[in-house]
Amino acid sequence: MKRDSNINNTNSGFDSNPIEFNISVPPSNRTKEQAWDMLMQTIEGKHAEPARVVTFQPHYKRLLAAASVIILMLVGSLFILNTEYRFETIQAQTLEHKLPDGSVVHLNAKSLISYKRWYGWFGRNVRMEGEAYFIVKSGKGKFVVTDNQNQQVVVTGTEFSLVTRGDSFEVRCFEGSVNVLISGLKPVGVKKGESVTKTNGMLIHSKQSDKELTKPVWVTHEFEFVEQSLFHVFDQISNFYNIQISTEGFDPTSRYFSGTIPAGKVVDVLDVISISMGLNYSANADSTIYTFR
Amino acid sequence: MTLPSGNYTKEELSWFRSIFDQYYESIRHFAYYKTGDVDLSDDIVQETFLKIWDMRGKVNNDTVKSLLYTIAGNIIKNHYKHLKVVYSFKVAVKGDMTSNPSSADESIRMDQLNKKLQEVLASLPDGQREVFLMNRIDGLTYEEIAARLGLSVKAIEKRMSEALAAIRQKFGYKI
Repeated sequence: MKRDSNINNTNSGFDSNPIEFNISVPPSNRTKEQAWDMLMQTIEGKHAEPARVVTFQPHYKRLLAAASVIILMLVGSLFILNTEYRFETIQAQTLEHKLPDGSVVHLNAKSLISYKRWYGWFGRNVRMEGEAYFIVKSGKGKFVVTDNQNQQVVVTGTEFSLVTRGDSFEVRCFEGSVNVLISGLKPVGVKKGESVTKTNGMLIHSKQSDKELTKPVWVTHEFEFVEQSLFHVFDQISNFYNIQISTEGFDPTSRYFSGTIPAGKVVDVLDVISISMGLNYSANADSTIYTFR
Repeated sequence: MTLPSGNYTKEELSWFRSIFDQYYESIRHFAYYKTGDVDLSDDIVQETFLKIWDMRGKVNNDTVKSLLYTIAGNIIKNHYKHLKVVYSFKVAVKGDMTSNPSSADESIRMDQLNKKLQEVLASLPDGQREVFLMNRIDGLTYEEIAARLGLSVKAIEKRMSEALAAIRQKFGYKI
């Protein structure tokens, strides 16, 4: 207050003695030094703040970079994991494949199986077409085989064969039990020694006799016959080798054969049968028709 | 006064201190003329000087004075424009009155006078009031006020004469 503001009273109330008023602004609640200290504190804080921003920014960016890397890796791994293992057999070829969980698949000719890289992570899912024999390891969750018509066979641990080609669908169970799920049809449980065939849109559940419960020849590479009629035996062999077998002079349904024959050359198999049964056979010129006498 | 750590030089700090020493009181007064609130004025002073601090290095010493007033004025304009201004200037009485404090009658008269004075000041338009008070309290010349408010001396003279006329009319006192 360098200069006083003098308000001279000229009013009648203060007539004789002019009064001088000294107006001033009310004092601050803080001293000048306190105000300065506050300023300095704020400035310190301000300088701390940009420092925080400076460190925060790269952190944020680093986080962002890390996050994007993780996302990229996730996306990438999805692509990698989505890759499919696919095994396909051509005519007259069979294949034995061990799945990651130890289960084994035997593929017959002109068949394929496929499964994702994440097989076994969330369940064991296999797609299959054609004919296959599964030996499924137990205790590792559901094993689901799906064909291209979304017909499913659900298993926990068992051995079974599945034929699914076009309209034909057949499940034969050799161990344990399997469930056959086809949308629109009642699920069917198939136990050891039983089979299920789909005919005219119906599932036919049939119990097989123990004799018939022999593993497919293309799996074992052996013909195994237990008290089978020769008719049945010739039927199996002719189917397997894609040949015709005819008989002359005896009734194949009345004669029975037991034994195991390695599925090697056709003539070797036929030799075993003809010798053990006391029969003769002859082949036609291009070895497609064999006649037993 | 400890030297705060941070990215500024000793020179900047001493420059800032000199600005602060020079203008702390007048900016506080200026804020009070505009707001009539001591605490608020303190806050405005803080804010104003922090703004100047942020502008250090860009501030010309010739303009820093008017810049401070402009900043303070803008802060008030932007943040406190809806304030109801009520003043409570301290009024001390000089002269014979002080030597004769025993008179109870006189003191009542002084209270009335005081109240009247605050009212009159509050009734002045902002522009006139701050010019008048800067002149009377801070003892600034018209030229100085003009420089601080960024106005012409003529404008200050006009405001001053208007303020004086208004006070004379309302107060009945010659100031």
